[in-house]
This record gives sequence, C-alpha cells and structure tokens, in this order.
Amino acid sequence: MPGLEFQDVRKSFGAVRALTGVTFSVREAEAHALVGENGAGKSTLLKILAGIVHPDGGELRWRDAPLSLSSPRDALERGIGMVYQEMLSFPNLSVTANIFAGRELTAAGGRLRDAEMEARTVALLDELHLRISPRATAESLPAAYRQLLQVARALAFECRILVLDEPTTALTDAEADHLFAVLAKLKARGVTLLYVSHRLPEVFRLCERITVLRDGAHAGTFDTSDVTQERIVRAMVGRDLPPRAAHAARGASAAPALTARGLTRRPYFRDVSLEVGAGEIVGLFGLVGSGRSELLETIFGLHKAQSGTIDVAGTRLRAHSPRQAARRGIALVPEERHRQGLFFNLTLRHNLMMPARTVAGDILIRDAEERKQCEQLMSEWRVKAPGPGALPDSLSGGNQQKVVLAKWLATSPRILMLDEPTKGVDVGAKFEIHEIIRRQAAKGLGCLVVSSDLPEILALCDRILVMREGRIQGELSGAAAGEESVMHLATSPLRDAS
Amino acid sequence: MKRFWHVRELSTVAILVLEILFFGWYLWPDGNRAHPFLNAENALLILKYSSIYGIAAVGAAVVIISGGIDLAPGSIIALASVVCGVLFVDLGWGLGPSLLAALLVGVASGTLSAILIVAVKLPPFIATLGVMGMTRGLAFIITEGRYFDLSSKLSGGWRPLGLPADWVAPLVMIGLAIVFQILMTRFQWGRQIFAIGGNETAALFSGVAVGRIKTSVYLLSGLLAAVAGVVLALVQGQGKADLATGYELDIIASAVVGGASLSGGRGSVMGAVLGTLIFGVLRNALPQIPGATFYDRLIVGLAVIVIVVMDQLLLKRGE
Amino acid sequence: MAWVMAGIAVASACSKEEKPASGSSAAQTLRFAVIPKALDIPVFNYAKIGAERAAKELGNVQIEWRAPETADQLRQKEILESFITQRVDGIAISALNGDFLTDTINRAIDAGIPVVTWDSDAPKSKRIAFYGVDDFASGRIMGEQAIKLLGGKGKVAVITSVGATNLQRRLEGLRDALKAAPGIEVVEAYDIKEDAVRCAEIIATGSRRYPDLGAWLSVGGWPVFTRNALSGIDSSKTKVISFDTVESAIDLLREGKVQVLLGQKYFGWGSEPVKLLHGIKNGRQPAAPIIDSGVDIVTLENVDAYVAEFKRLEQGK
Repeated sequence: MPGLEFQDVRKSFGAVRALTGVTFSVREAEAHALVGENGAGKSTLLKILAGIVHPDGGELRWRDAPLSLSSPRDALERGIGMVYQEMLSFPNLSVTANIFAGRELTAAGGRLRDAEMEARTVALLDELHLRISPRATAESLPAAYRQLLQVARALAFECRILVLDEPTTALTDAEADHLFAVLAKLKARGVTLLYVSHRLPEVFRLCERITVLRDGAHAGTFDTSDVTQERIVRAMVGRDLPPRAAHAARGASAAPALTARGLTRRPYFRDVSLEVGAGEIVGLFGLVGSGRSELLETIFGLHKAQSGTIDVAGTRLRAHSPRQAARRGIALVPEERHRQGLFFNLTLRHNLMMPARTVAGDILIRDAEERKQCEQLMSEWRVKAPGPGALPDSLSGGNQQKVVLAKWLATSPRILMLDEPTKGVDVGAKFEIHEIIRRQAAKGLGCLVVSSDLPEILALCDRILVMREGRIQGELSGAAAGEESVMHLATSPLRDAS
Repeated sequence: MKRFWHVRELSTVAILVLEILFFGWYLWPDGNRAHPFLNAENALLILKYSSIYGIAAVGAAVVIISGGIDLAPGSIIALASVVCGVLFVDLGWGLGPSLLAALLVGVASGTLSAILIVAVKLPPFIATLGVMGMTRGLAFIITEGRYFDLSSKLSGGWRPLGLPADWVAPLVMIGLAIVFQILMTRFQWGRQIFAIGGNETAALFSGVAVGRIKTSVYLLSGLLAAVAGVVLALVQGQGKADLATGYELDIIASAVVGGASLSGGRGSVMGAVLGTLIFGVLRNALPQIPGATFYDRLIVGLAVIVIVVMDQLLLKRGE
Repeated sequence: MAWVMAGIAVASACSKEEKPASGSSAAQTLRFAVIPKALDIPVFNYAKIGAERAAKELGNVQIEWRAPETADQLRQKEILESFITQRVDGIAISALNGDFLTDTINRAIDAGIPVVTWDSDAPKSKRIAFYGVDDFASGRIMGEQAIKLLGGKGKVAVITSVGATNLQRRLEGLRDALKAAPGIEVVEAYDIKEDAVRCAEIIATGSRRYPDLGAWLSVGGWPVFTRNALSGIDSSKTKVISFDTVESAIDLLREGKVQVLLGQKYFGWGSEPVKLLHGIKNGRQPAAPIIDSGVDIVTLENVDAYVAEFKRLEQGK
C-alpha cells in the first residue's frame, strides 16, 4: 500500500540542478532511510517535504492523493513533523513554549492556556522517557534533549510522517539508543519515519528500506535485509572506495611538536598532560562532554587555562591568544565550520587567506599572489568550487570542510588540531580529508584529532588518548587499539577518585 | 570587496544620477534663466552641507561593516564643535591646537565606546547609546547654553592652504572616502573588519585579533565624527551643544542606503558617502519646489525604504 | 528705542514699588522655580540674569533655574511635576507646548502653588498671568517693518520651524500684516526644524531659487546665530529681518547684513515673572492676566543705545 510517494520531483537553483527527477515511495508505517553524499539532493528533498521549497516539477502524493505543501506550517498541519540536524529551538524559552511555539493553545482573546499546554508537555515528556521539567529553558538542556524536544514537538501535533535529518550527530551512543527506542515505539503506533543519516550502522539498525540519492537522482532503493553496507556506499559514491590505509609504523620522533603539562580549566578538564610528536597523529577520544573540544580551544588560546604549561617545539607559550597560537604554529580546525570556520560574506580567497595573512602580519592585500596561492591550495586539496571568487555557500559540506582545513595548512603550522574533522561530511570527502591528514603528518606535521567517530580514530591515529570527565583516562597505541578497548576506557569509572 | 568599486556602489551611483536627473528635469527653468539646480555653485553647496554627514558616515560604515553600530556621532560632532569653540574663542588658543584638542576629544569618546564594547562586553547599541548621552551632556556643561561664534574670529577671508573655506569640507570628505575605501578593500585591516562583521567567532578562530580591530573601529568612528564636528565648526562658524541632534540616524541611514547591512559583513565606505549625497541632493532640491519643505521629512523617510528595497531587488536579480 | 526706555521705566518703577513689600515677609525665603524652554537656547541666559537680579532686589527670594537640555516637551513636564511635588512657593514657566502642560499647571494651582507663564503661554490653563510678547502682535510688527523696508513691493521668503505654537502665531501675525501690501508676495515658508545648520543651507538654496528675493523674514533667530548663514546674500538686493538680538545679530546689523532685528525683553522674561510671583505671595494679584512686554525694534539708527542698555542689564543692574 503506497504511503508517501515522490514522483519525478525536480528542482533547480539557478544553474544548479539539485533534483533531476526523483521517484520513489515510502510505505505507510515503515522506517525508511534516505542516504547520499552531501550535495546528492537530500536536503532539498527534505525542504520540499517541509514546505520550505517548492518543486519545479513532479509531485508528492500521500495515500494516493496529491500532497501540495505551501508553507512549513501547512506541512505541519498535514501531519509532517520535522526533526532537524541543527537544533532549531528557542534557547530562551521553556520546554513547553518550545514545543508549542507558533501553535500555542489559546483561549478567547489570545490568552495562553498555560496549564493545559504544560499538562500535555508533561505527558509527552513521559512518553519519551525524558526526565526534565517542562519549565526548564531549552538552553539549560543537554544537546540530546534538545533534539528530543523536536521529536516531542512533532508528536504534539499528531504527526503521521516524522522526518529526521541526522538526528544523532550530537548524541552519545546511549542517547542515540534512547532515541531509537522512542522511534521504534512511534513506528509501532503507525507513524511513517523518513530517516536521513550518514551513519550506516544506525540506518541498518532502524530502517526496513534504504533509498540512495546520488547527484540529484534516485540511485536505488534497497531492502535492509538483503544488502550490505558496502553495497550502499558504492551506490552513494558511484565507485569503490580504496581500503583503509594500514598504519605506518612511526617511531616517536625526537622533539615533540606540542607538549602540555598539567593543563587545568575547571570544570571542563583538569591536569591534562599530553605530547604530540612531529609527524605523529594522536587521537583524542571521549564521549560528548568529556572536555575534548574545550582542551583544544584552550591550547589554541581561546580560553585561559587555570594552570599548566604549553610548549611548542620546546618553547614555552606565554601571552596566550589565538593570534599568538597561530603565530607559533598551532592551527585549529574547529568543530562547527558554519559558526567557527567560515566567513559566508567573503569569497573563498579571503576565507583561505585570512589566517595565513594574519599570522604573517601583512598590511596590504596582494591580489595576484593570493589568487595564485588559492588556486594552488584548491587544486592540491581538491576543493570542488568554481574558483577563488566563489562564496562558501555554494560549496557542499565536504568541500567547505576542506576549505577550513586548507586555510590552516596555508599557514604552514607545526601542530594541526582537528575537532571532529569529518562531522556531517559525506563518505568520499571523509576519505579525502583522512588522506590530507596522513600526507601532512608524513611531512612532519604533528596532528591532534578529536573525534566521536571511533572507526575514524582507529583508522587514522598512531596513538589514542581517551578522555573521560575532563581527564586523560588512558593511552593506547593505534596498532593495538580496538573499538572495545577504547570504549572500555571511555566509559569505565575514573581510575583515581581525586 | 573584491574590487575597488563594488556592484552595490554602482547601484548607489545609479540612484544618485537618477535623482539628479529627475530634479534637473523637474526644476528646469522657464526661458533662458540659469538652471537653479544644475550648476557648479549648487553642486558645491550640496557637497558642503553633505560633508558633515559624509565624514561621519565613513566611520559609521566601517562600524556597521564590523557588525556593530555607533549612535554617538551626532553628539560627538556637537561636542567637538563646542570644544573647538571654547578653546579658540573663549580661551584664546590658536586654531591648530584647538582643532587638535577637539579631535582628541573624539578619539577619547571612541575609545570609551571601544572599552565598553570590547572589555566590558556591552552590546554596541547600549555602549554607544551611553556615550551618546555622555558626550551630548558634556557639550551642554561646557556651553551652559551659550554658543561659540567662531566666524567672528575667523575673518571672512579665511583660506586654509590657500583654498576657499567652502571647499574644505567637501575635500576632506572626498579625501577620507578614498583613503578608507582603499583601507577597507586593499588592506588586511579592512579585510579583517569584513571578516569580523561576517562571522566574529570564525574570525577569532582564524587568529584575528578581534578585540584590537574592534577597538580601532570605534576609535576611528569617534575620530571621524570629531573631524565632522570640527569641519562644521569652521565652515558654519559655530560651536553649539545642540548641533547635529539626531544626525546619527541620518548617518546610519546613509550607510544603509549605500549598501551596508546592519547585520554586518557587508557595505562600503564609498557607498555610505554616496548615500549622504543622495540625502544631500534631496535636502537641496526639495526647498526649491514651492511647498515641499513641509514634506521633506516624509520624503526622506520614504526614500530610505524605497532605496533599500530597490537595492535588495537588484541584488536578488543579480544572483 | 522708545520701547526699551518704556520697558526699563516700567521695570524700575515696579522694583521701587515692591521693595517695602519684600521687607515685610523677609522672615522666610521664598523658593521660586523658573523654567525656560531649554538650557541650550542662548537668550534664556539673559532671562536667568533678570530673574536673579529681581531675586536680589526682593531680598528673600531664591531662584531654582531648571529646564530640559534641549527643547523636549516631556522632559519639561517632568521638571514641572517635580517642582509641584517639592512644593515650591511659585512657578514661572516658558511652556514648550502650552496645551500639553495645561493639566499639570492646573494641578499646581490646585495644590496652592501660583503659576505664571512667560515668553510662551499656556492660555487654556489656570495660570495666574502671562508675561511676554503677544506673538501675533510681534508678527504683525515684523510685517509692518518689512513693508516699510521694501517700500510695499517685492518677494519675501519666510523662515520658521513647524511645531512651536508661538512661532506659528508670529507667522500668522506676519501674514496678516503683509495683507496690507498687495505688492509683497510670500514665495515660500521654509521649515528649518530648529536646526541652525539647516537654516544656513536653506538660505543658500533659497537664494539660488529666488535670485530676485526682496527679503528673508525669520520668525526665529536661526539666521543670526552665526555670520556665515547670511554670507551668500547680496545686501543691496535682499534684506533680512529676524527675531532675536544676540551678540552675533548685532554685529550682522552693524555690517549691514541684517536691517531690522526684533528683540524680546530677555531680561524681563526673568525679572517680571519673579516679581509677579512675589506680589501674588504678598496678596497682590496682577492687574491683567496678559501683560504684553512688547518687542524692541533694533535698526542701525538705535543699535548703539540698545547695546549700551543691554550691557547695563547684563551686569545685573
């Protein structure tokens, strides 16, 4: 029985054809996955389903009747609930207000029926097994709860189709488990799920069928029961990927590029000591909230450490600021490229040149030289863009990430710190980014990689440090480490209780 | 900011040309009388009066591009004119030292804004609102309701650098516009301001000394407002505490009409100066139409909306 | 000049008359609030001198001089209200907007605080008296002077600022007087929005628009606040008549840039209301609710005498 059908859906943005005629159907009350590389057209399809974007041609059908959505509100009223990757919440408002935002229950004269909304919120939170106060503000909640708030919001309006766009990006495994339990219950109640994710294991766990999009076209729909992850990846990328590179056996080099001793910044981390040798890739693994990002930001000079020392190539770092750090050869590729990495009002050239020219202390902008250097960087790191004059908006997530990486490599750093370098990046770009990191390490760059993606850490790093609750819990050599041993360190109780 | 002249500046020029053509046509004289609007003398007049706004608008544009806002320029103009007046007229200082002191007062006001914004981390709107009140108040305290008549001490034949006094203000404005247009487009300093306005967090993460750059921006805005005040005092011959009341909004409007985005990261110095000329032409031409003087507030308000909407439409078409 | 002399004669007569009265209630000091329109209008400083001189002469009077920094109606009302709560012994106010202040003035009267207005009236209120120029009459005087100066024919442009009641009345008086000379055409009335810089710009622009203009008539002092506003005017063709006799205006008159100035009784603005309040406190109601101060008409002929008298008053004599 057909539930939600996409029939020859087409959409272009200017010269870019985002969807070139996509046809597939989602059965009612099934969990259906939608996968594809960044730029494959998933987001456009979701935006059409959310009523934000209107298709140029083709149509959507629900239970054999045409479904035309004029606005996000329209979509919501027809029972389509959206859970977005970015946390779309009102941080300053309460849980109840967030759930009912825009569709508040009102009595005559527009007075809010607060008590009733709160009672319904309590019931919803109960259903989702969320132990939070309906009056807590959204900003006071952990990331995972904010994500679940969106699910609650969709449920509050009796949705028949729930669309989830990368809902687990910011969640820990335990939190993701919780989400999946909720989703399974919803499915049992007859809700149709459309699930978008890069994480194939999740997709296989939750969904009955998988639809793959590639370059704006439908590349196949598969039953989860008779397909492998490799087959899906091939459908996404359109080619076979090279096997993961074996670990190059590297000995610890003579002079460590970066040495931190007793670094403390409460309440995020305390007494952290680590060393990164030149040419070494060190992984820093830990669950969300274990203090990894804060540690990198402190080494980069964004925050002041309460105690401890940082040495770069044997020289003590004083008067700490990002500018100082950059001048001394420390680079940080931050976690959120939209918020922390890119200038969307400036062209790629200015984005790529900003740190290098700042570090160099340049006064004048030398156009010709910069343009040449940019073209070189873009071809070297395979940034797919029309040219140095393009704006970052026009690039896919993977290419944006490569720009952020390239702008720091242009400063010729000694230490490259990467915070979730492949978050929200498609499989092809992920392999390319790993390749860039390996090549740079081979040239003598010390790399410190933070990632929640355990296979990534295992594939990439020579040495793995595991953090838990703000402390270094243990160290494993890359060759010896396995998923289980790392997870064991990351989740077991602290070794000493000081 | 890729090129010296940006597309949006060209659209501002286009609006200005259209405006001039319109009034040129509308005010075409009967018979062979001289044209009351299209002549060199009138052009100088427009430039002279627009330059008070224009000089301050250079600073305002830089502030707005950096993602901030400065409400103090109107008050700093008044304070600078008063300081210049009290020193030159009442205390008998030389002209040079008086001007210098007035400029220093502008720098001090700008520095205060910068400290409040960068170190105390107040939102720019609040910080400069406070500085606006303080500078205006200080001007009143100095004048005690009097005003300083500089023209009585600057005899009619006052010719700085051998130029007629009326040329000083326009030349200062044009000079500053060119200098800062170059600084904003060809210098790392300007690029960092665009970067901060576009994404302050990313700028910090890129090693830009955000605090230092923002300090320079507000300091500059204060200095340029003081330059406008000094020019006003010299050309109009008076230092007075209630001068330029509400000009800050006209100055911000000029920058916006010239293509600056109040959310930061977009805009141009040249555009802002052209924006002041658009308003200058309106202020000059409307009084020449009988009865229009009572409508000019309405027309100027309407013009801001129409021009910004037109600009947005052009920009969308361009994409 | 006769106006000046008459004014001074009245003033001195009053003060002589009141001296004994003030002596009788010397036991307790009277606090009078004097509120001008704004602190940033130069001529009100003369009113302050006048008020303080009257206070000194009366002996037991203390002046509270307070006003908004700029012409802000709401701020002025706030100041007025604060004086009512302070229970001062009398209030003398130059209302920025008479209608807006009517209720507040009535509250003061109901609270037993005598209120007189000066310079700018609140005619609908229960204020006991108004001392100042009859704006309509002074506008007429400006019109009569213009007719005389232009010989009854020519184009004139008027400068005003929309929003102030007294300027509106002057404008009406001016237009009324000009009706008598059909040869005079008012080509334009410019609104300069209380901005002296804007005024200079308007004069420059308007002079271009009407090169054959016979005269600029300004119902406020903006054109004479500096010399530069009038620098572009060809005095042989275009005359200027303006209100206000500030120092720069006198210089402009002597230079021939301005032909006629109409001066208010600046010192009287301060001294007369204070004396009125003192009289009321001692049981003497003013003879009439409206006391016309008249205006000083200053031309090249009487300017020296006017200045000499002005200097004397300025020194508090």
